[in-house]
Amino acid sequence: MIHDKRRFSVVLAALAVAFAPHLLRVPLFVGAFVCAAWGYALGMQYRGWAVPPRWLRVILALACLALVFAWYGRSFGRDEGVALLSLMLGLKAIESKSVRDMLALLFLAYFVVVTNVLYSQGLVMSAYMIFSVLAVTAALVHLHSAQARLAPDLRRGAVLLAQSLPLALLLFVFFPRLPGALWGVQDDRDEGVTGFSDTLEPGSVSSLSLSAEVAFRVDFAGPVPDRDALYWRGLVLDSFDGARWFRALPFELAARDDVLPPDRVEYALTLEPHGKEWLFALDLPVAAPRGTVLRSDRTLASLRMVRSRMRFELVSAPVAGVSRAPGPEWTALPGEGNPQARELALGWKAAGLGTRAMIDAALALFRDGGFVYSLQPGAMEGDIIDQFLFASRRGYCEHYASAMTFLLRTAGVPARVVAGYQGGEMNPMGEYMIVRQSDAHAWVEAWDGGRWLRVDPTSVVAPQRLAFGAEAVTSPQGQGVDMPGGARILRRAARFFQLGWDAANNSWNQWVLGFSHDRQRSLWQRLGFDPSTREGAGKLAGLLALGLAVVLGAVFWFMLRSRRQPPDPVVLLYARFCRRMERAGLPRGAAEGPLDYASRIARERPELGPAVRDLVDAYAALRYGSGGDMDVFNRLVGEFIGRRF
Amino acid sequence: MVDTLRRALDLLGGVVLGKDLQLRLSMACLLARGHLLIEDIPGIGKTTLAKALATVLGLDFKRVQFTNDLLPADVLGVSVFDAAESAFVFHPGPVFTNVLLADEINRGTPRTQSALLEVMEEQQVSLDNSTRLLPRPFFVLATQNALDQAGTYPLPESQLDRFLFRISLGYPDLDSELELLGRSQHGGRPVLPEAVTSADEILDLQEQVDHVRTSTPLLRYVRDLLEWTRAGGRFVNGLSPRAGQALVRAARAWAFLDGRDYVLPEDVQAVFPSLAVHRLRPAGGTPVDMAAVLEAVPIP
Repeated sequence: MIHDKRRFSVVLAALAVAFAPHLLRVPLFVGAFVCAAWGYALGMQYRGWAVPPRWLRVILALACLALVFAWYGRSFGRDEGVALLSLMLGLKAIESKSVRDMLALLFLAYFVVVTNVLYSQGLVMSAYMIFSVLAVTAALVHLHSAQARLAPDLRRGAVLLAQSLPLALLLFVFFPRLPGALWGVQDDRDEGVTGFSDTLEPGSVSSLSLSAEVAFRVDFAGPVPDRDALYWRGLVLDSFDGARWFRALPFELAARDDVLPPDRVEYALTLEPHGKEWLFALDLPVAAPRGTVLRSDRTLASLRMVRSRMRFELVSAPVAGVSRAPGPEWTALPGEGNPQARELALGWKAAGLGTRAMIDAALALFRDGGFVYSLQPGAMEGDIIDQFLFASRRGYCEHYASAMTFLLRTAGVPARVVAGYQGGEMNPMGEYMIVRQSDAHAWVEAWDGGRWLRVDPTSVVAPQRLAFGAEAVTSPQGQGVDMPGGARILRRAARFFQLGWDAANNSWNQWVLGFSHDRQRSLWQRLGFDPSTREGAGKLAGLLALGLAVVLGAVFWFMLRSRRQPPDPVVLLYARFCRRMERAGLPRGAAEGPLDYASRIARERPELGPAVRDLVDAYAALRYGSGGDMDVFNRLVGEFIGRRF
Repeated sequence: MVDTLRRALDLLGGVVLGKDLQLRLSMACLLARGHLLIEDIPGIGKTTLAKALATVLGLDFKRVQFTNDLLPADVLGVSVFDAAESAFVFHPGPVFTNVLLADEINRGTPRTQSALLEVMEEQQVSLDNSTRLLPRPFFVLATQNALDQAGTYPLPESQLDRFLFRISLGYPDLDSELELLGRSQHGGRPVLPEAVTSADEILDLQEQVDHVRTSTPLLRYVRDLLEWTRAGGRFVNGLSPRAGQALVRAARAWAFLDGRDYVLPEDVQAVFPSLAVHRLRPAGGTPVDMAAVLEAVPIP
């Protein structure tokens, strides 16, 4: 039985801190078993319950193993491993009899803490992991400490962690990284997040407009473009089947521009995972960063599905170069349906209107025809364009874009729908832009004068959508409802914290999680070691070997030194006692022997006399005599330092 | 055993008043198999101390008054031809005793001084091709008058080393003085106490002192002390290794008197001034306080 129940409780508390995040992740029976085992272990300490016999423990261990495999019944992966690890935490606790067992438990707890990164690497989890490591380290210190109080051990644990920080930073920056996600572990939860699909139908954009989820964040290298120029291009939809717009036409890669246009905008875009291949870029991207291709319709596509947060360095320019004239497939429409709309457009064509004039006519129709920008346009079936244009006249951006493209195509003007985001919110706390799902948007591009011209019908129906964002349209204020002052302040405060939190998260993502294989590589390159060249790789290897030799040499030297002078625990404890007395105003003279010191203390502080005398006698016997009880001395020093005076 | 010594010290304290430290040092000196040099003015109680010590410990006591015509034979003994036996018969000198009081040793000629000091070291007398062992224990208390008195031969430094301690008694404190003045019996002479132990027991105690433990940290401290006296040119000569060994022996005896079976730095510090004061001659003539030496060397 462990001689000190209190210490065992402290160890268990540290284990609980380390295990807590897993409690919701592991199957119920695992969590229940761990808690029950810990409860029994506490009973062993405090109530004197028997340690389970060896055969029972073996059976329990085997049963746990079998249960885990039965439960998951598939190849061994992250969840199975964590479940097994958790069960071990419980099993080990009920066989803990000695300090050594408790050490094993604590080392196991470190391992459990690390497994958290397999689930989440976010800011909150990282902070909690640091706290867990602190708790486990403090418990480890406490296990070796003579005192009953926890605060000094926590402090020492924190100091130890702080001391390890430089090494951790060094490893973070220089430890070779592998391309791809951490250990190939995919975060399952990233699947099925909101975002665009590659079809556009009534309701597909408006369904996003209430989601405050972040789509991507943008760091502009230079000045931020005007708000009405912030069209984030994602998908170009080229075909219509009467109900939906979708991509059907084969695409080509865009010709590479060797010279970057002078009015370009350079920025870094950090895309939240959406499980698809397309990227978003400011109208219009002119170059494809590594790992992406630029299509001839001026959209960017990643070569890999965006399953984790990815950062791209992008360049855009407002006007792209002249491209080849589009073929008849860009005016294709279903053979029938929406007769009224067709009639309108054919009327424009018959009137001999040019492309510009037709666009203006369509915009004038939206502006003056009593159209309403609305999130709830009502359900439509059949000839949805006709219903929208001539009956309901209520719609969100996808309705307008869809209807306008239909009209233009009917009139023989090549046109297409572009889906993406419009606008974005600058975060003043991080000087970067947040683009949310609610900024989702759809607009039109029409072929005119040898290039594709961007036309946004929403701009004439709901100018405030472009000026202030979707929220201006959808929020109660935007809809003319007054809010009480208190609610407004509350809302502003919430906004402030939301932005601050987002800024913190963004920094974490950019600087910690975003430090990928590629960025490490570019760091090497900037330092003059290009791992992709033979010479650079050789230099890098040499440097690493040198660094390793230095570190190992230092460790070896320290070990050798410490072997030469083994730190005498008696001396250390006595030094602690002396420091305590020094704080109490009675420092030991360098040439003052222990008994003299004790007598002086007894003279100056008679109430301490007996305790000091005992302690010093124990010290003298240990250091100068042949006998002496280390445990007694340890306890005496612990008690003395713990007491108040 | 230690109780015996305590009792002896108590009894001595009743004879030599107010000189507990000096009594204790004398006792430690005896236990460490050393010899004691008392430097003081006449009439301060040196002889009383020596006599009382010998008596209390149940030891044989003799006294030699050194003068400048005292010959080595007067101290060591002499072989005289006995006509009746037709052989030389050795007449042992006063040195054949347990406790020898060599009074005013600096009045003797260097030759006589040397003869005595040699015997002190060897614990035997070699004369006429025969070696005679001195009784054991053998303990010399030499007294020395202050050096500025005329007609003296100061002991050379090499020979001062033979004495483990040099102490001075000094005037008694006021209370002791008063008590001394008030003594009326025996014409003011002190009543000598009876013996509480014997020569054999003293030998046994000396044996036990040898087994008092000296730990490595303590020896390191002694080493640092010796090192300090040698470095920095503070003294003409630093303490010799022999002095170092003597210091450890004396510290053992001191610890033993305290009833401990291990030596503490305090024991070393207690005996160091008496042990070093006659061995260290300050460079440049400025006296160096032995307490300052102790202050300067930290305990490891």
